[in-house]
Amino acid sequence: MIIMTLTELPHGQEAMISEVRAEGALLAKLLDMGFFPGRKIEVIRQAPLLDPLWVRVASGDVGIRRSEAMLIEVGGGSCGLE
Amino acid sequence: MASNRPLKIALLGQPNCGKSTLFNTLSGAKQHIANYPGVTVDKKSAYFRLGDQEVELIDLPGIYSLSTFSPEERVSLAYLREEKPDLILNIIDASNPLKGLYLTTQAMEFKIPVLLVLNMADVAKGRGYRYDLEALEAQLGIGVILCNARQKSEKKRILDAIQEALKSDAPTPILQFSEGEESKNIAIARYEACEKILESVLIKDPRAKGSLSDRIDKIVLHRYLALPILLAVIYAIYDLSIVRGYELTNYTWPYLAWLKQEFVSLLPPEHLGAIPIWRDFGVWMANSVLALLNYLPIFMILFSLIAILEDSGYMARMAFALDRLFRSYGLHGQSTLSYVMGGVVVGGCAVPAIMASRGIGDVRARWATILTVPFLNCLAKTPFFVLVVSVLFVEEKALVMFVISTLTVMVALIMAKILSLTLLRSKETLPFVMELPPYHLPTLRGVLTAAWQKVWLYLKKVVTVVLAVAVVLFVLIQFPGVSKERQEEFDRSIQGAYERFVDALEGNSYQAALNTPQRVMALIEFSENYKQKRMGITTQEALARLDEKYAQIEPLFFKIVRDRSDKEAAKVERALRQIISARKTLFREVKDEKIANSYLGIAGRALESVTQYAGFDWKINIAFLSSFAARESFVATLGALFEEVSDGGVRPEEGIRTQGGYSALAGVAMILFMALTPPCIATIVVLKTQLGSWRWTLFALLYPLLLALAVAIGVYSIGNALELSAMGALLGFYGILLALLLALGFFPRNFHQTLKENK
Repeated sequence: MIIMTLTELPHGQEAMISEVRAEGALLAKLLDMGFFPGRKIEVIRQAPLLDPLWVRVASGDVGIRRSEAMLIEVGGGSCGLE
Repeated sequence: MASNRPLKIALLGQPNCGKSTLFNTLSGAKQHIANYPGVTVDKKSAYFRLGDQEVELIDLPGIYSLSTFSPEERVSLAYLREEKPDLILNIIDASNPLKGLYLTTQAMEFKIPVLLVLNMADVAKGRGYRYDLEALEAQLGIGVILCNARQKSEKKRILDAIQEALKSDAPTPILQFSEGEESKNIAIARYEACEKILESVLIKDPRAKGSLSDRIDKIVLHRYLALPILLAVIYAIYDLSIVRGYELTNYTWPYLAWLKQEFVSLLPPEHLGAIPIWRDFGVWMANSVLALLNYLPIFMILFSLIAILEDSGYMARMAFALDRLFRSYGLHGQSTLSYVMGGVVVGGCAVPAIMASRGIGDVRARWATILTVPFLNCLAKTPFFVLVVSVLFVEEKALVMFVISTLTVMVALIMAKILSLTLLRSKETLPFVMELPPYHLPTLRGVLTAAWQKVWLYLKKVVTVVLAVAVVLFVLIQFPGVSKERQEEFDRSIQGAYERFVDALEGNSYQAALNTPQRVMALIEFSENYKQKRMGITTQEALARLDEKYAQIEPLFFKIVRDRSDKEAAKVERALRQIISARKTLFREVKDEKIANSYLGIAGRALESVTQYAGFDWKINIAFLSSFAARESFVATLGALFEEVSDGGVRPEEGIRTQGGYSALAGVAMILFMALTPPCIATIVVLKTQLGSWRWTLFALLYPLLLALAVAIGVYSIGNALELSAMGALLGFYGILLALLLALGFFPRNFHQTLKENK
């Protein structure tokens, strides 16, 4: 499984969150929004000005800036192959 | 349970799950909004009856979890712990239950009964979701109800469920944690538990297609279409609320004018030689209130449209699309709502805009938004701009109006960036991680309720304050009044006018009926009233009716005013016209002198020593001072100051053009000063509640004032020194702003990032 950050994940491809590298308020916020390790994630699109990203997790859709998406590591490809 | 104390029910849920809808459904119109002590979080509560029991319903702020990272969370946590409500009414979105259930498991840990409301049953059904409610109740150990809070018919079912739940015991928490467990692990365990519960109680129909919401977003958030669509939406908001709303005020204004007329007729009547001060005061107050009430149709439309944007989910998409742009200036995607309401394009109002800023999670961006929104185009400044532009820029009207409206946005963005790099540097910042809810069709009732609540808040907060200020202004303009000698002079000349009237009637058959000043005054009043009523009349039949009515009130007076065939009556009428005109001239002179001598006039003159460098004389200063209460009073005050002495029928534009003698460059200075001028009183009141400190409020008041003064003086002096034309000076300043805006937007490119690294 290749580990990359969420910003590197191609749009429309499902992946698995492997790590959320944040702490304190930011971590709490990311968890509130459903960024849990081991869960599926997909980048749907980017905003017209290229940032932020529109991301889909199990608990719903979330907008997240690239600077924060860099903190989320995903294992790309593994979910897509069945 | 004791029935003498109201039961307390706390409404708990995340944003966008229909919490306010449920609150409105249960409570009706009677709501109280206050602040939680020390924080700028709304505390909304309402009372309603449940059987024979009084219930207090508390709407806790919308939160995702009960941790302690945001003020909303801290407030909710403290409330549940300290106030110990009798029931937690927990609402979650049935079409997207995972996140909501996460909060539910936390709500079950307070030893308080919990009732779970699965809202938006229709949307969930549309997505092919089916719940096994019995299994869910059994697994959680609390009551569960599936409903649509939007439908009023569901109210009884919800109330029954509440009554049932009040009798139940506090639930056993789903999860047990040992002391000192790491919060991240707790969160993960909680999340897993919720997933597991949902797996067993929620059956998803696999045939359900990809949602409609996704398909709409493919177009609405399309790479190239998104921004044009967004601009079109903003344009539509302005066209509907400002343009159409203004047209609507043409229909509502006559009713307000009628109201004023009725009110004025209750005031003490005018004397021949003077207007009683209470009458003056009453008219002044009526005008102040009317000026604000006149905006109600516009506000109602504007707030309704904004409620539609919010309810439908498009507002969140606007924030998503514009976050990148706003972030360059220290703001946040969520600032969009405040900026739209504040008047990005043509005109808005800072009061609701600042109130809307509380949705911005990022504290630094929220403060930057609050402190810069007052720069945006206030709706009430528009009459002023129209006035000055039509006096001084007849040819280039449209261009100048465009420059004004974009200039204010540029200044707001520049100041937001500067403030967030300097004074606001130490404020907490939270990145853009924002829920993007699916589209959702707003209901008419929901939209109207939301709009009305905002309008009502505006009325209560603003009208009371503006009235208080109107009283103060009245005093400052009326006192100390004209000197005794001058007053005697005025008295003598009105006496002279009366005597001329009496002389003209010598030997006239009407003389006996008009032999006292009181009778003459009655005739003046009769004639003025008749003229006023007649102005609104367009058809012959209506005129006949009016004549009949007035002929009955005072047949003799009516003859004088109307009968052209009676020579003697016509003679009286001529004399009457003379005395009326003499009176008007005199009153205007008294008024002018009163204003010039008043405290406000003294202040206006004193300020001349500074403002002369911007080309403002004391009259302009007075107008600016009085516009501090409400922007619309600028035009009114200036109009009063420049009324033609001989004839009141001239529009203020003409008066200023012919008597003012202001250069076009001074006009530019005025426009710039007004555009940047500090927030009005009503805005300051709201600023205080949102900033929570007088020191910051004072800052929010003073920095735009200094900036406005500096810009006005700078442009006027430099323009004069370089002998620039007015247009040249305005466009030159505009160019400088544009350059500054672009430079700040690109530099420093990632200051959020840099700051984080510095920490």
